[in-house]
Amino acid sequence: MYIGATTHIIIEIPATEVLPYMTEAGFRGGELALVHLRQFAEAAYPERTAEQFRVRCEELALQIPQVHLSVAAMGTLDADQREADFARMRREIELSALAGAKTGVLHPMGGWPATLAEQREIERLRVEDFARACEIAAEHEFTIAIENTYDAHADEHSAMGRRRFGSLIPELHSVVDAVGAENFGICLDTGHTNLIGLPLGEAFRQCGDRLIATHVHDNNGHQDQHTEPTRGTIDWPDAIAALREIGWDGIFNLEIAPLRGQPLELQTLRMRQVAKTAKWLLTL
Amino acid sequence: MKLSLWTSILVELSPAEACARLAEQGWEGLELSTEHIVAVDSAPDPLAAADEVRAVIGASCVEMPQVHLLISANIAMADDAKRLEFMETLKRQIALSARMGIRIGVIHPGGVRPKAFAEELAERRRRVEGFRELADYAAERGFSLAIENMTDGARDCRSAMGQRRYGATIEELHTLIDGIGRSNVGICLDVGHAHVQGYEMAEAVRQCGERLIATHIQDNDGTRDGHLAPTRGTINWRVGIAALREIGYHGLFNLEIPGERGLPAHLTLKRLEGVLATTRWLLDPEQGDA
Repeated sequence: MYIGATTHIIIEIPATEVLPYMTEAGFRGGELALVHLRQFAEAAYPERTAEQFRVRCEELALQIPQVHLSVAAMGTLDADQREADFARMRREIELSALAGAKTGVLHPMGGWPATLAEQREIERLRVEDFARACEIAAEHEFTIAIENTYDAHADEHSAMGRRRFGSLIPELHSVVDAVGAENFGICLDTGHTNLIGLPLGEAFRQCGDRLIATHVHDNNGHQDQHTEPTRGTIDWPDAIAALREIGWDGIFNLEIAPLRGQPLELQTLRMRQVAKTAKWLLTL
Repeated sequence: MKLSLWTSILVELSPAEACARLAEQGWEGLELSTEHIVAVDSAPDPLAAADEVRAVIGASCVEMPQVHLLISANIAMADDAKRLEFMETLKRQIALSARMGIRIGVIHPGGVRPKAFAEELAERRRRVEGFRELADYAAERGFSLAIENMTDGARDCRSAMGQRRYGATIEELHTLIDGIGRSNVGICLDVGHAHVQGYEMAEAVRQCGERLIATHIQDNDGTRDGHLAPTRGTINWRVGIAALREIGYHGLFNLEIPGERGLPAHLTLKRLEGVLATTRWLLDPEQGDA
């Protein structure tokens, strides 16, 4: 297991420029942030920009095993939206593969069905859409990771009440089972588990060997704050023990909110402290 | 649909006296509350206490087809001794209820907050087995079980299922009833629980469909389980009641409103006059369509 950070830890500069700061702070890898992936897509020479990122990672001995793909309408009842999202996803996977990433993180989505019949249709389409995403990914020797989400607050209504599909790990397993693709696994978001009230150690154990990506961050159990580990209420020692128990040897990737608008010096100082804390956690 | 009230609104009175007072006030139906079935069961002579209630109901125009079986019962409990104790209590309550002429017992799905997913799966198996045994016992007495929908826990709850509680969605109740596989098991829809859970009342009613055999009618603001009288919260009653008619529900429209308690009995009865009038208006098809 090694520590990493999502590249938006410094959000104001291009991804390739963030990399030296990550190395300097002590990170050995990271996740290509969605905001940076989009910058690749919008660049004058997208392929070249993505490749330059990969080359820079290699120079710095940084591993970037995962990327956060755009939030796609997986399971949406809107066919036009689906096709638009898949066109974008295909392009994002192409560029991510060129950038050296191997796993793309996707949210389960599905929206808020008004009736149980709609819910059933969304469940069917979700499986179909993830299967399609896995097929696209396979063309690039790429895997897809479905990320856990969390239930809504009390004022949201649907045919499933305020429950949101994908908040619980067995729900993610059900999609992985139904799709049946070899290049499909789970990205566990540690902050989301805390919001749903699922102890993190138990969450990792429930993922088991299907865990292929991590989003590590902390919160107060009420808001999705994306703070650094130990600043919230997550039981980290049990979580680290569980990661070892399931044999996870991949990235412990911090997906923490950037210090927007702060001087670069302060941001890098904070990065170093966060990396130290994460390293210490991994010694537990 | 019959306009009904659960008897614990007058919890300080004996079961027979509470039934008599509510019948006098003009309620068409009653649900015998958990506190009152416990009182009957723990009376020096439970059979005589049950007969007394039956006589009161028989002498009035009110019907009492429904009872709330022990609220704290957990037939999915891992502790064998405690689970058996709950089963025995529930069976006694069913037998006494049947003796009083009651035909439907409302019961919670039970369960605790498992630490590991394996515990949750074991609990689900015990729940199905327990309900099956209870349903068979009830069937011999011409009695049905109505499993009530619950709510998920608050943000600070922790378990292998997070804040989720089994039975908070109608879909889970259907899954449970399918698993039990007995024709005398249906659903009690608590519309207030559904509201807190983020269901529109009408959609929750439609999802219950023909399995709906009992109701707990109460209102709240969608954030807390207030158990207030209808119209004191934010439930869309007009559409919800229309859905009840749409699915052909003919049972009790049974108010379970501890949020209206807290006054001496004579003042509670005064308050109930207003609740009765308001709810009667809601159930009037002509007013509802207005």
